[in-house]
Amino acid sequence: MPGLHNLSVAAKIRWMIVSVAAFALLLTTAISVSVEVNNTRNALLDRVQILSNVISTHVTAALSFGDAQTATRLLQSMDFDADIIHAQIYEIAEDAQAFASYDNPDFKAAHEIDSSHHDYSVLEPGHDFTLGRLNLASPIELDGETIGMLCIEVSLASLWLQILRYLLSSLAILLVVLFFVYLLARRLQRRIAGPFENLVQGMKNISASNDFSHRIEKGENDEVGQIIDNFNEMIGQIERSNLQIQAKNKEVEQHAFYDALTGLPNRRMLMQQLSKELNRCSRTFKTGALLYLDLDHFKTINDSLGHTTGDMLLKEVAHRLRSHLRKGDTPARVGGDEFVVILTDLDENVGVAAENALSVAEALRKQLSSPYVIEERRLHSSPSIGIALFHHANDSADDLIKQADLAMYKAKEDGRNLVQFFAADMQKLALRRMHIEEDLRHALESDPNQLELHYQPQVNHNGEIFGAEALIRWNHPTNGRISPEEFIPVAEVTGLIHPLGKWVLSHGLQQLSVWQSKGLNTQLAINISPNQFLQEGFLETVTEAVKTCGVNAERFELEITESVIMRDIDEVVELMKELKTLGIKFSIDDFGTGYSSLQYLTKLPISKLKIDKSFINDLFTDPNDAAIVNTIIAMTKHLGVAVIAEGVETLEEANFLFENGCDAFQGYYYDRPMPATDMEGRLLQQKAGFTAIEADTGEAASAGGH
Amino acid sequence: MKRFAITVKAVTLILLVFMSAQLVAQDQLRDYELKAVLIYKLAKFVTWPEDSGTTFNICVYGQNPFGEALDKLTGELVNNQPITIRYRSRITTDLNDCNVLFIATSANGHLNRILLATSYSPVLTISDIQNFASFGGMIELTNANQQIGFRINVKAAKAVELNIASPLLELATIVGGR
Repeated sequence: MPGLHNLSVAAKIRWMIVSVAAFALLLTTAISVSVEVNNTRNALLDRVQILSNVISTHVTAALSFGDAQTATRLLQSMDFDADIIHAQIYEIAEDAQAFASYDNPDFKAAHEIDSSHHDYSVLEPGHDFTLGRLNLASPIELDGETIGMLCIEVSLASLWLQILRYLLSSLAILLVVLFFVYLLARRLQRRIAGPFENLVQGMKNISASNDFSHRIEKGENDEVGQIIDNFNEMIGQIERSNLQIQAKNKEVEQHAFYDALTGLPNRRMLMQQLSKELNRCSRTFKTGALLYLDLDHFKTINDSLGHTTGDMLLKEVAHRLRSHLRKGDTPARVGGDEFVVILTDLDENVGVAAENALSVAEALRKQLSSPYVIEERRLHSSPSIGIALFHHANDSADDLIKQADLAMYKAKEDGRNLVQFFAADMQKLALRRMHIEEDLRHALESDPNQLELHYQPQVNHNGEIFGAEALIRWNHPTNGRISPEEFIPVAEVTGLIHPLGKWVLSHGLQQLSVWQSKGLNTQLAINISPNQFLQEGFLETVTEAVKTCGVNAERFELEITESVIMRDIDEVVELMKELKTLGIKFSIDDFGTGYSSLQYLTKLPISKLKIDKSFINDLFTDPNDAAIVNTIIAMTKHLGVAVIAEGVETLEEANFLFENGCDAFQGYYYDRPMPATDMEGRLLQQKAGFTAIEADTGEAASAGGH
Repeated sequence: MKRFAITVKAVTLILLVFMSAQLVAQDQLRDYELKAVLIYKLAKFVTWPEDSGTTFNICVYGQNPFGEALDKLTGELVNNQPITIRYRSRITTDLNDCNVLFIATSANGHLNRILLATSYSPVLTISDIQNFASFGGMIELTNANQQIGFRINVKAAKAVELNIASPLLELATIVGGR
């Protein structure tokens, strides 16, 4: 039975019990059936023999005296026995003719076939069982002499029927018993195979979950119980060695990636992190910085005060590094007194990033320069820090470390306790930006006279000034004039844009109010940076400024860029609508350089688009730009808003623009930005011109009338 | 067993052949020859009390109707005793020696006396005298419809402790109850 291999132990035990029982029962049944066959045959034989004895005794006289009639009558008395087919009495004589005979009418046909076969004359006393018949020959004796033979032929049909019935009932009992045996086997098997199944299930669970803390429950203390015990012990050993391996792995990792003294990542870990950061920067276009720190005079401390003190100093340095860095930044110890810090996610703008890195480095320098108290002794130490910036177009991790290391040496050469960039221009840039920030803050807080507003006139196609754009100027006391292109980004990053914007707003409005009071009907446009525009309280600031200055806000225009719209369009629209109730107008500055869609533009309550000067400058060199300019002009017509071109520097440009439908201009071709006094003069001059022309025409008319 | 069976068969065969030859040869005595054989056969169905002598005596009273037919039985065994044939003509105590007493029709007149004489001994009385059994005889041979039959007075036989086997009674007409 090959299928038996795949069966479970439970099934095997079940089959074993059932088959053994089946075998035993079958054997018993076979024996009992054969005993029954024998008994039944013997009983039949006894019955027939008794009958035959009775008949042969009774028939002696009839045979002896040749009374066939009586003999036949006597034989006839057998008819009570349905099994007897046929009986005959033979006289011991020369011929084999039957003296008397009896035929059971039920077996008439059978008799006719059989009677011819038997030669009773030579038949000896006794009996003979065939499959279907019992032939019995018993002698008829008289006074010790055999005078005849009584031959009886008995059908075994009813015997076989009886045996068949017995067999069937035995088999039925056998099946019933087997069924109960099967039920019993199931119960017994559970006792034996249950623990096995439990064991197998437990093993499966453990190997599936890989959880070696599981234990298999032990049932009985037999062989299976011992297997379970052993298995549990084995699992326990595996679990223990797993825990050991895990602990070892952790230890190895600690040794491999962390510095034992300070607990900071070591050089290997640093290199991994740095490579990761470099990859990330090339995806996100952010800039990062690598700071290389070396403690000044550490060797002296170490030599004079001992290694223990030196180690404690290093620990303290590590502690300070850790506590003064942002979460994403990684400090590491790469040598005796050398540390490296990775600064991540600095600004995209390299200049801003450099400034950020510098300020972090300076902060660290200050932190590490403050006195240390080690074993109740005050120690002084300071770091020299080298900075190397990295971004998407940068070098490998090794190169970066070398760069930062070199910068650090430079800082040491320059006199220690310093921060030094690897790239000299970067150093300058960062420093300059730092100075700009400091100085701008100073200017805004305590010396606003350094700042002033200049105004660039905006003219129509007749060259008449209808408005002006206010532009900020910063006159640095020592560095002279600083371009807004340089200090505005710094202000944006540092948040100085808000006080600066406020200053511009209030000064611009004051100026407008002055001009309005002088009857100069000019428009004034002020640039608002996105951060300023979306700053909380901007609406209130503007409202208040408009009120205090008492200007006619109808002539006041806020220039916003497309990037404002890109933030939260709904919020922006809401704010613009509120401001519009004051009478303030909006224009989109630098139009064409952003990504604003027409759909957005239609939503906004704007009154003017300013074509960016870059398009105007390339009008005759780049045919695309001419097309863009045309498109913008056409779009303004479609939107029903005004259009103005800025940065117009030549007559050709002005003519092209005019021919293509633009009728407002701003640029050097007309006027440079100028101080308020100059602007006022121009406005007064124009006003006078107007009145003169009006007067001229009036005079001419009256003269003509005369 | 087999050899015994063969022997029995052979003996019976020889005997029957012999007997039938006799029957054919003596045509006149045919009836009594048959009766002689009947007497022999009848004896086999009767059991006598134990005190019998060494021989089995078949006596004929009156004029012998058997001729030599009965003598031919001499030496045959009944009850393991060799048959002796005796002829009697007087009513004496001699009759009590007989195991079987055949009373010939010639003795019809003395029937009562004969029966009385044997009424205290185990003597099986047989006769073909009409109504013999009714008169107190034990076995009466009848000859109705060309066939020999029996009338048996079981009571008479029982009275002298003669036991007549029931198979014989199957063939007989019982007289005077059983």
